Amino acid sequence: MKKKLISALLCAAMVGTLLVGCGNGKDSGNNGKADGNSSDAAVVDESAQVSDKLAEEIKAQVPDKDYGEYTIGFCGMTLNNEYHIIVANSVLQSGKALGMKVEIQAGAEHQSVEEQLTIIENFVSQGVDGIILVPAASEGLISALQECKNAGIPVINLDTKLDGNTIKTLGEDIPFYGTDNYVGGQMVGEKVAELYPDGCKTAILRGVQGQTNDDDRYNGFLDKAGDVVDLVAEQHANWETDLGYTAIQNIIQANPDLQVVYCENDLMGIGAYQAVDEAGLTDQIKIFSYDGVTEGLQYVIDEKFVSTCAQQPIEMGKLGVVNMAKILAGEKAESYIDTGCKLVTIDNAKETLAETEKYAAEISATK
Amino acid sequence: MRDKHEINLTDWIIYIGMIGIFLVFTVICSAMGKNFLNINNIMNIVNQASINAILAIGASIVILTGGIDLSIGSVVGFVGIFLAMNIKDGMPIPAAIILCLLCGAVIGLFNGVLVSYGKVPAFITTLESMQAVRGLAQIINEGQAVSGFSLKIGALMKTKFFGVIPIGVLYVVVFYAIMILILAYTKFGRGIYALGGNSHAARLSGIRVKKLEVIVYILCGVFAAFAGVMLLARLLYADPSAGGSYEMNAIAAAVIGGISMSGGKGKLANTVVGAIILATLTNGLQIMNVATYYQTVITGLVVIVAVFADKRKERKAE
Repeated sequence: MKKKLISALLCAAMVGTLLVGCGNGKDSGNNGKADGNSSDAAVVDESAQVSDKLAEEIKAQVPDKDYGEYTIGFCGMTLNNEYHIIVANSVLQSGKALGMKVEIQAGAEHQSVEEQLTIIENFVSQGVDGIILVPAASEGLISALQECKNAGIPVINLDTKLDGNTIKTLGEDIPFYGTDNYVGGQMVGEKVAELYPDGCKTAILRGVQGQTNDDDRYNGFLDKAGDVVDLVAEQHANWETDLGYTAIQNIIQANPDLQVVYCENDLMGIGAYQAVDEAGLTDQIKIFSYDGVTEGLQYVIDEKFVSTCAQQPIEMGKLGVVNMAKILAGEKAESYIDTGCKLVTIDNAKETLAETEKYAAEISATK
Repeated sequence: MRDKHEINLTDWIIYIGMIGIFLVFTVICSAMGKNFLNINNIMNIVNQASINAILAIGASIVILTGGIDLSIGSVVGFVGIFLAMNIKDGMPIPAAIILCLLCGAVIGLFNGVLVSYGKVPAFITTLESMQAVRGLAQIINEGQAVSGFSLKIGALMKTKFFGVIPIGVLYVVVFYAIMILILAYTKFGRGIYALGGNSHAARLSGIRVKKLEVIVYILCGVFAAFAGVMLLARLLYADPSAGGSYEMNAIAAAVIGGISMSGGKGKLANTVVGAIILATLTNGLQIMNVATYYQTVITGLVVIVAVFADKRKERKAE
């Protein structure tokens, strides 16, 4: 009997291995090749063609030139969430629209600065013609940026801004295209102040402590809503769904009369909603979120979130490539572009979701 | 006689610690006008501890054999995505869950075979499978999170008995009861302790050490997969980075519960207390609205105190 059980288990294991095992081997191979490389199979499809519409749009914005000889390196923050994958895909497809070779690399987690350091150093030693960077932190990357400067490789900064001190130490201005998160935080704050003019018990779920995105989204919110809200709790849930769930469950225990939860990203917002839902308090507690990933927009449509704040990751990627092309053609790049953000509520959630999906289709490769 | 009395006291130390932590939070929270000690919050705590407690069963039995499994957090992430994708594709939920448990078993088998037959150190084997499985979690859905699947799976975590007792508590009680009985009363269970205590002696005494080790890793993988099912049912959203550092929480629960990292010593029943202590710390500190990074410091200190107490116990025993 026991033998039979074990052999049945082994058979099942073998079937499972067919499903799982091959992938396993492929992945460990990837891991050995380079840091953080394991994820890029998820994004890069080298054989894929760029859509004609995108190619036309990008070509129209850059000086007429053959870009086929150029290679640019994209160093992303991470490739483990939808938002950062969209940025990477946008850079890849826009670059290919110009016939450039694009190398996509990223850290494993949101805080993987050392991996980014290695990636940039590798790009420099490979002799890429330009680097597009979404930094995980500023200070840790100075030495690598210094190497780029010495080697004369132009760098463009997307999404998360390198801080002022880093730029000063480097002694060179690095173009930045991204969202002003402070303004985004203000938008959410205004919405809360508008809906609760007489004040409300509020909890804030924050991201990773020390990241500029976290500070900006927090301070912007309090700038507009600080006078109105009664801030009863704030916790750093590190942008993670499960930590958001636990934190809100505990905060509700401490403050049963909680009315508003402001989550600095959609993932924490999703966790927060599950906790509120389980407590049966969806009528009393309203959630205001940030990011505008697909699921976040869906939550607004389903009225699980009052609002989310959508950023423009695709626009960032395109601008990065277009301006890199300008630099390579000997022209000057724009030094700063605010790609903007907008508050998504039930009124415009459906059209925003449709727009996001349209854009996503545009940057996803066609075969 | 005196010796026996002392050992008894140290055996109880974890319960004393847990009650102490509860008392401290009850006093401080009520001084702050917050409600800590009520049935609702105790259920909150156990519910929050449940996923870690299930993971910690696997972590404990592996540590008891003198090994370690670092891949369980990645298994949680992988299973979440795989399960959500399969349900979305229309696979019946029970079948999808069984398939996921099988995946956990396969990953466990892979770890176990490498550790026992391949003689690769458990730390290295499972460190690499941790990364490989995390990579798989990214690959199977191109790094994207999965949503829009049937929310019926939520019943697996959101059901409450008599309106108060969350179903997560039931899983903990049932699985711990089964595993505690197996460890205490079966040849397999005694083999685990023998292997961790002295693998050479265990082999000489006729225990099929290698087979036993493989089965332990398979069990650990299955428990991790089940924890992944629980997490998906709780959040109804599958994110490839889910379960990050869960292996550390599970190992911490085992260590607080007095499972010796050198293997062969410790009681599984105390592991669940370790998991509850960890959840209580987060719960109490968040109710007090203590800043997040102090929470990690305090939790770290508790683990260190627990290890210290454990070492003292060992020295005394010697």
